[in-house]
Amino acid sequence: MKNAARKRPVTEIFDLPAELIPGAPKLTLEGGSEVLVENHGGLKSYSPDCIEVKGGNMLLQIRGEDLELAAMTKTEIVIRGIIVAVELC
Amino acid sequence: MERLSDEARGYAVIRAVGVEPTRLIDRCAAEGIDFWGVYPEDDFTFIFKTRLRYADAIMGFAEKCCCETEILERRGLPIEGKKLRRRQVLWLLPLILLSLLVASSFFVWKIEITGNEQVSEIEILNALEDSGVAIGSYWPNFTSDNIRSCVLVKIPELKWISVSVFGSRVYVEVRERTDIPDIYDETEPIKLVAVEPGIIESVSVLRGYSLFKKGQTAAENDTLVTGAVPSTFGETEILHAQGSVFARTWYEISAVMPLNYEKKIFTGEKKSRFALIVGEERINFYAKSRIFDKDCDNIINERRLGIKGFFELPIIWVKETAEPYELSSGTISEQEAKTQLEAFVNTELKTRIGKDGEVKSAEYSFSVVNGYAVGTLRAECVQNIAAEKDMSADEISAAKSTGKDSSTR
Repeated sequence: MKNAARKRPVTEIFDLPAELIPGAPKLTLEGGSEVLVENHGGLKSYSPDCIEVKGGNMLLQIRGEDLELAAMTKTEIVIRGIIVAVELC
Repeated sequence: MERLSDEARGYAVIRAVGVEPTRLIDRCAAEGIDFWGVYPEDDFTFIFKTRLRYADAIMGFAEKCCCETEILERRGLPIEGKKLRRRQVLWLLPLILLSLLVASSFFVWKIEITGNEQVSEIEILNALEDSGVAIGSYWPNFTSDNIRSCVLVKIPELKWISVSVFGSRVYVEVRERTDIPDIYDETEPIKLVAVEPGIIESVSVLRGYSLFKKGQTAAENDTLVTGAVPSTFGETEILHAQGSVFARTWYEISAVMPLNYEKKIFTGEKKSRFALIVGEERINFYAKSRIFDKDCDNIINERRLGIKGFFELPIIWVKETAEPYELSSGTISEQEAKTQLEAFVNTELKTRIGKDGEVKSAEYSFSVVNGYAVGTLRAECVQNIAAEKDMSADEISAAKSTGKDSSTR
């Protein structure tokens, strides 16, 4: 299992904030209608039901209905729609 | 709002086809290129919008992202502007219209006059025309002093005039002179005579010598108050008699009207014809034969072109509608005739007794004779029967001689 194989971050060992790890993706969920992904590594796939965003050593899978790319810059992605689930793969 | 902004700045719709079209999207984000409305047509095709200036750049690096791109359309104001740039006539026409509109706003197309009661509008318009203010005149040439002096000299009944120009409309405000109260000569030989016969109810003399008392009967033209005032110590004084004499009067007023009359019955047929008045020129859009030869009512509707209250063009659209009718005999009911005649005789009575008069009692009778309705009003009134009249030379000399006799005795 990939998730199980993921190592515990150093910040967790030393009880430090996760933001200190450079390049770690940060997800902000605003209600059930908007997700902000910071420090992304680009899009993997895009459809109205599922958007996959690369994030360092993981893949973020955002599932829902009528999903759309509201804004995208080099470091940030805003996804809008009816968000049902956010999975880390 | 965003949509409006997109339309104003212009945008291109791009279709990207590839194994991983998301790579192109990533690249756009990495290059700082604005894009929106990403729509996946299928797993290998994306359609998205971007600014016009980025479209060519995207086409440039699309190949490196293993995508084939195609610009589906370019839209927005810059694109429409480019299309219109070639159509010079289309630009020229609004410019010509605009310049005509601006030029026409320097000319007077309507004159509105307010504040006049005694002096007619036509009189004021004629005076204004003589001073250079008329339909079609160039208003920047107006000088208020000239207009004022010219109009006030031509119409002495006016004491003040102001001319204001709003666009192509001229507002003329005038003030009329107030009537000077009647000034009479106090020594003028005037007497008060009875205009109606009646029994005197009250006599109120301000100047002069009363010849009647309450309860006496005065015939028509009897002198009620004379201007010759006798004096025990000197000559008889001749003056302008003033006062009022109220008396009971009786009236019998009759009015007659036929019960049969002719009325119009419209056939329901209508014919219209049109014309255009440009300035003072009339352009008819009809032939003479289009109007009815028989009896008809003509209704003329005139509509001035422009924006009401702001700007009016010197163009009037005229619609003339003719509605033919046939005359047919009608009958008025006796009750209706009675009401109409009663109203008429009452109005006549009020006119005769004047505003100070009062109706004490009245009796109205109605009859029909040979197809004619006859209404008769008999009324008893109290009214001022005194009216001013010049004293004759004989009256004056007789009054003076009587005065001399009494003083010598």
